[in-house]
Amino acid sequence: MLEVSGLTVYYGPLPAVREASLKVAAGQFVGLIGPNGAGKTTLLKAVSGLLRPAAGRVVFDGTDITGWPAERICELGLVHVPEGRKLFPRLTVLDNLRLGAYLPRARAESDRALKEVFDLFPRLYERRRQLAGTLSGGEQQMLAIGRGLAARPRLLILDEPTLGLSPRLAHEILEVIKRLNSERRLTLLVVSQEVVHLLKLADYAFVMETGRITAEGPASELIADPKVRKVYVGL
Amino acid sequence: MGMLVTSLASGLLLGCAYAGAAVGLSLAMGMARVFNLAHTALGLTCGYLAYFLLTTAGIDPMVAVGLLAPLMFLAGLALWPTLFRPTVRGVADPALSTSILTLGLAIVLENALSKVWTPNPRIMSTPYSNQAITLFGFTVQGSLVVAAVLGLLLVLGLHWFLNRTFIGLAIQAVAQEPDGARLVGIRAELVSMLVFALSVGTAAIGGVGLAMIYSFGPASYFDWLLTVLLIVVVGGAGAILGTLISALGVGLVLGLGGALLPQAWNSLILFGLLLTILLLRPYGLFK
Repeated sequence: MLEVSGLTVYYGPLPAVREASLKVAAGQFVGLIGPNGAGKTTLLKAVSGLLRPAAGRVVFDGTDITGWPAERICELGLVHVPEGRKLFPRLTVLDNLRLGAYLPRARAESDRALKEVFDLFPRLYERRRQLAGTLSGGEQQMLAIGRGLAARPRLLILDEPTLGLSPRLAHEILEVIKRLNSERRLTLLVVSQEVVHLLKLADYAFVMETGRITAEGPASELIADPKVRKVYVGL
Repeated sequence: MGMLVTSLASGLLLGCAYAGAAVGLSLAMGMARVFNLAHTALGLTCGYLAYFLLTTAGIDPMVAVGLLAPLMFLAGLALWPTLFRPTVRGVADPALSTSILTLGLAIVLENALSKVWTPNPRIMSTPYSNQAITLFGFTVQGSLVVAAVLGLLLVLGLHWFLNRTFIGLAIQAVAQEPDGARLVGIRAELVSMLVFALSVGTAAIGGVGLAMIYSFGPASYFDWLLTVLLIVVVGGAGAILGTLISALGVGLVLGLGGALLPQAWNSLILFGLLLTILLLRPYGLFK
């Protein structure tokens, strides 16, 4: 479904991503792990169109989307829930979700999408009239995922959906994400610092270090790999 | 006492008229990050056009506003890709680059107006200009009431548009979090262009309003600009109702000051207030 090949992205004068390649097949739950500053966020931004890659190709569902602007990529159904959430802080929860369904394709189904999001995160329904900026960190993360779902994604990219959350809340969010994949067959590409938990849930994973993809494999094998365990699990 | 109450009422009406002249500037600053110092010069140009339509064809300024506002909206759509986008793109500080651009634009307009209509001051006289209208027991000037109603309708209309329509929400989304807006599929660039065009369109309404109240010459835009900037800074850029409240306050100072103090004190009070507010709440009172 998504095929990234030889992608190089500059962040300022230096390449933050160097010739990175990865694949996500339809229906798969793929994790991307690596230390801070490895270039994971930059890679995702180049995939969703927030940054322009200097070299390489991004192909989504057979369409070459390299260098497309983010708003056109969203239209194809590749939806990115970015690090830091990027919610609209002075709009209500409901308006944030409605704007998630901004594109005509999503707007037609926005009532159903909203209902699904509220079923998934009842807390958001309770707070639907509250301004997004006044929500707790966990609720904001739920809203960011909800806004992504309202855009009717075929591939959902989640960057650090658990950052800054308590371990319990982080696990709760990851479980919801897993359900999106197992129950709704939503294809996922997820970055998280909760490496162990992510690898337990994901089908396949890529490891990124200093801008390069250095390892990949079925998540269950990576979690058993002594090198990965040493670096990321701290065992 | 009666005079005091009447100047209070005129002050509030004047505030509404100024709110109409300021709200577009606030919108462009807050929602499109464009600092348009030509806002009142564009408004003044519309004032002259309304004057021209009135004196040559007898068209009432209220009708002229209906013609000029859509025309200015189109002018805004044309100005964005030709003048503004090149000035904003790749610039570290768009507020600085656009303010220099628009200051130049204002001076060009001033000279053009001077060339066409001479530097002599003009007065728009309509049948209701000097007619005394009694509102809730206060007697006020007819043109002031018309200008105030135009300003008030504009502010309330913009507030409704931004908060109750889907495009309005998209405009706020782009202003609050441009990357987030792009990720849900909003074409931020188009939205900025729309906001700018709207802002220029409102310049027509505010400018004709002020031209109905004051006698004006080609350089009047500068006096208007000072007051309008004051209103926007106090209200907070992008805060629509904040602009209204701030303009009402300024109108009150102008109205009461005019009745109680020598003229020269007005500016001293207003800009003293501005300095105080900039020191205490540089982002505006209502933001």
